[in-house]
Amino acid sequence: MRPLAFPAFLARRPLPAFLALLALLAPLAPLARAAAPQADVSTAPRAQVADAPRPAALETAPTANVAARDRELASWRELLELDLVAELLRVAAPRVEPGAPRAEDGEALALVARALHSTGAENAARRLLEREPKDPAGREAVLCARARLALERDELDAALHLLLPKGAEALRAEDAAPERLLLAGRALVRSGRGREAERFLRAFVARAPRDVEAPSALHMLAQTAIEARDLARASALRDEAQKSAEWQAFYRTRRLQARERPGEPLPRLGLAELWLAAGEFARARGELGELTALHPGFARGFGALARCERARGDLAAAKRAAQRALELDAALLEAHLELARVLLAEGDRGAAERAHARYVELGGKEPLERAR
Amino acid sequence: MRCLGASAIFVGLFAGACSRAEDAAPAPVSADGPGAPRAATDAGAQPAEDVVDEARERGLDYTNVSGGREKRTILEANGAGVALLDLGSDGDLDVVFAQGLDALARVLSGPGADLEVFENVGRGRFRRVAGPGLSGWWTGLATGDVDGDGDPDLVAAGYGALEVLLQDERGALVPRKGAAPLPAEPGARLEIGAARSKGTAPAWATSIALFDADRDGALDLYVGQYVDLDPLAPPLSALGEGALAVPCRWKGHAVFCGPAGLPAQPDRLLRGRGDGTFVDESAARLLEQRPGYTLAVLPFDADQDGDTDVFVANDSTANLLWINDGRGVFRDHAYEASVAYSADGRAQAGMGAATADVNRDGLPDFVVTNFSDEPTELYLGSPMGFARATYTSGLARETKRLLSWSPHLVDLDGDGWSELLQTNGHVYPQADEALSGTSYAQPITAWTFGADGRARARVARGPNSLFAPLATHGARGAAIGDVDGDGAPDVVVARLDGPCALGLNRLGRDAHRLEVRCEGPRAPRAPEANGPRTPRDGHGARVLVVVGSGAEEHALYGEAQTAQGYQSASSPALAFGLGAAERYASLRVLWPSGRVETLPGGPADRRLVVREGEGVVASTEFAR
Repeated sequence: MRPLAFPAFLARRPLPAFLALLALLAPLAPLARAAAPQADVSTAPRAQVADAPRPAALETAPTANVAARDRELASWRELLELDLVAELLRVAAPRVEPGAPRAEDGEALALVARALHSTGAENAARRLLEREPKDPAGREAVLCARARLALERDELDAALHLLLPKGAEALRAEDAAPERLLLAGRALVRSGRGREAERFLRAFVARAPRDVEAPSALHMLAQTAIEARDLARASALRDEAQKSAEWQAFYRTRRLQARERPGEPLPRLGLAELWLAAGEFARARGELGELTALHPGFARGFGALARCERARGDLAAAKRAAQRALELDAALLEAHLELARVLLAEGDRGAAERAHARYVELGGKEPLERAR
Repeated sequence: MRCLGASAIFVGLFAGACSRAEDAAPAPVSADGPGAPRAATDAGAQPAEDVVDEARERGLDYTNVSGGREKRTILEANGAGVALLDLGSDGDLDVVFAQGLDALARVLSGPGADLEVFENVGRGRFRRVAGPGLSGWWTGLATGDVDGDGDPDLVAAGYGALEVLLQDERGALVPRKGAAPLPAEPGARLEIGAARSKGTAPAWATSIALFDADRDGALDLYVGQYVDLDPLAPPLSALGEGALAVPCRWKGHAVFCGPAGLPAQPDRLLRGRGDGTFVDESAARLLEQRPGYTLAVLPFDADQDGDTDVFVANDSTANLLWINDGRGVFRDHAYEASVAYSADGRAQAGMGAATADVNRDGLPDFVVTNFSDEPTELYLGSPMGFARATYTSGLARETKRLLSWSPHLVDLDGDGWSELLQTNGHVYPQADEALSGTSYAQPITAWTFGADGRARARVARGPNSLFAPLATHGARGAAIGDVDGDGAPDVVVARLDGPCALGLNRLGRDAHRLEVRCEGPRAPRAPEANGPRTPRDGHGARVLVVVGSGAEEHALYGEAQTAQGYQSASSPALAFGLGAAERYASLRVLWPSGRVETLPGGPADRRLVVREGEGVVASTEFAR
C-alpha cells in the first residue's frame, strides 16, 4: 500500500474558500480491500486476549473445573464473536441464573449481558450487571460490560468515569486489563480526545494483538496519527490495521466453516494455518493436534503439523509428522519439503538434498533453504 | 448559541467553526424493545404541526414491487428510488418512481417494469400518466438538464441498464437509446426476457448522480455500482462450495447472500457531452479506484474550493471521498478525512448520504446512514476535513437499532436549523425473529438538532403522521421538494413492497421561509470560451442567505445538488428556514463558474429564481 497524503483541504482550510482552487498535494494511497470471503469484522466482542486475568476464586478450584469453566466461556465468547447471540443466550442464560454455576462469574455475566444488549434487552443486561462478583477479575469484566453499555448509549462521560475514575493520566496502562484499555481508548476517541487515547490503544494492541478488536484499535491509532499530522505513522498503522482485519476476517470465516461442517478437516486446517501465519505456534500446535487426532488419515494435517513442529524447534516431532504424512500420501509435496528441511536442520545435508530432489521431481518449486 | 455571524462570513467565508453546547439533557431511548425504533405518538395533541402522509388522498398510488416477500436474493432487498422534477415546465414538481419486479427470475422471462410517472396537477395533487416505456428492474434515478435545453431530464439506473430520458416540449420523458454506455464486460446489459448465458453479471447501478465534474457546464454522471449477481445462478444459501462453503447467515438466521463475499463492481464516471449523451471516462478520472459495494453517491463541495467532490457510501467496505482537482479528476481521500470507517475503525454498511450545514458554521456537514447495529454517522465540516459528531450528538444511540437508507438534512420546521429525516427498514425479513434486536418494518424517523447540536427525535402527532411509529413496511428512496407550493419542503418516499408515502410538511406554519432556485447562463457557450462554466440548471451553485442583524445575524448555507439520500433525486431548489425573520438581509451565490454575486435582501416567503449574471429573475409568493 502506498503512503497516505493530505489533500489541500485537510492540510488547511482555504481562506476564503471560493476564491482559489488549491492544487491538491500528493497522490494518496488507496486502502486495499479485505479480500477475505465474508470479510465481516463488524462484530466486536473481545477474544484472544493473551493475558486476560482469571478470576482469583477459580485459582483454588480443582484444575479440571477451571479448565471446564475456561472452555465453556471460550465457547460463549466465540458465539458472541460470530454474532450467534440467540444460541449464546440459549446455552448461557440459564447458567447465570441466580444459584446457577456461573451466577457470580463476572466474565460470564459480562458475556451474557452483551448478548442481551445486542438483542435489544438493555434493561435485562443492566440488571445482570448489577451483580458484584467477589473476585477482582470478575469485577473488572462487569465494569467493562457496564462501560460498554454506557458507550452504546452515547454516555461518554459515564463510560469514562467507570473506566478512568481518577482521570486518564492516573491509569497505568501496564496495570489495566486489555479490555479496559480498549474501551478507555474508544471512549476517549469518541469524545474527541484521541491524543489521550493513544497510550491505552497502543498498550491494548501490544498485549492483545490477535483480539478481534485489534484492527479497530489500530485504526483508531491511525486516526490519532492523522490528527497529529504524522502521515508516516498513520500509513504504517493503517497497513497494520488492514492486515489485522484481513486475518480476523479469515479467522471468522474459518470458524464459521468449522462450525458448519464439524466433521470436515479442511476448515480446521485453515484455522491452524492462520495461527501459523500469525506466528502463534502453540495455538497452531493445539489445533493441529486435535485435527490429526480426529482425522488420522488426513495427510495434509500431518504436513502442516510437521511445519509447525519445526517452527517450534521440535525437529524430532517434525520429522515424525512429515514421515506420517508421506505414509498417508507419498505425493504430498509439502511433506517432502518439510522432511528435507528437517533433515537439513538436523545437519544431514545429503539426506536433505535427496528429499528435496524428490520434492522437485514431483513438481515442487520451493528451494531447500529459504532466501535470507 | 450563535455560531458565526454573517459579517464574519463575509470576511472569511466558511472559515469559522463554532463550539457546541453540551449541557442539554440527552433524549430518552427505548430499552428492551424488540428493536422497534422510538417514536411515540402524542395521542392528546391536536392534528396540527406534523408531516402528514397524504399519498393516497392526493393520487400518488405507486406501490413498490421488489421481488418476493421472503427476499431470497440481495437484489430484492434494495428497493427503489424516487425523483422530483418539473415535467412540462409548469412550475411544480412531478414525481417519478423506479420500479422492480416480483422475482429475480422475471428478468429472464419478462415482462420488465417501466418507470412510474405522476403529474402534479396543482398544489400537490397527482394523476398517473404514461411511463416512458422502459423494460427493466429499476433502482436509482438522477435529475438534471443533461442537454442544456432548460428543462430537467432524467437518468434511470437499473440492474443491467442505464437509460437517459430527455424531456420533450410536452413534458414527456423520451428514452435516448445508448446515450449512457454500460461497461464493456460481457453480460453487462440485461435485456429483460432475452436469452442469457450463465456466468456473467449485469452491471448493477444503485445510486447515480448528475453533477458537473469538470466544470464545463455540461452535467456528468457518477454511476454507483454494487455487486456481481448472476441472475441465472444467484447464491442462495452459501458462498463457495464443498467443505469450505460459508453459510449466508445473520445472527444465526439463514438469509440471502451478499454483498460480502461477492465481487464488487467498480463505480463509473461518465462525462457529459452536453447533448444528452455520455462517454465513459472512469479510468482517467477516478484514479486508483478501489471497488466497493456502492449504495449512495453524494456530490458536494467537500473542500470548499469551488468544484464538486463526491462522497460515496459503500456497503460493508470503506467509504470514499473523491476530491476533485478542479478539472474533473478525482482521488479518494476518505481515510485522511476520517470518513472511510467508523470511529472504531470498522467498515460500515453505508446506505445513504445527505449534506447540509447542520451547525450553521458555513461549512457543509453530512450524514451517512448504515446497517442495524451501526449508527447514522454525522460528520461536521471542520477547518481540517471532517469531525465526527455521531456520539457527542447522541445520534448513535438514536439510530443504532435502525437499518437506514435515504437520509435528508432539511429544515422541515423552518426554524433555520436542519433536521435529519431518514427512511428505515431491514433487509432481512428474519429481523422479525426473536432476539434480533431490530425489526423488518421500520418507521420513517426524524431528529432535530438545533443550536446545541443534540439529536432529539421528532414525535408523530397523529395516525397519519409520516413518522408514525407502527410501520408496516420498510422504506428506501426518498426525495425532498415543495410539491404543494406552500414553501415548506415535503417528502416523497418509496417504501419497499408497499405503497409510497407523500409527506406533506405542516410543521412550522408560523415560520418564514425562502426558496432559491439557481440557474446558469442561458446563452450558449461561445466556441472560443475557456474556463469554468455554470451548468444551465445551476447544479453546483452554493448559496448563502444572511438573516437577521446584530446579535441575531446568521447565515444559512446550501448547495444546489439534486442527488441526496439513496437512489433518489430531490428538487433542485434550495429551501431555507428563516424562523421569525420576515426578510432576509442579503443573498450571496457562488457560481461554479467562479463568479460570486451578492444580491440585496428582500421579503421572506417567496420563491426566487436567480440566474447567473442577471440576479433575481423571478420572485413569487408562496401559495399558503
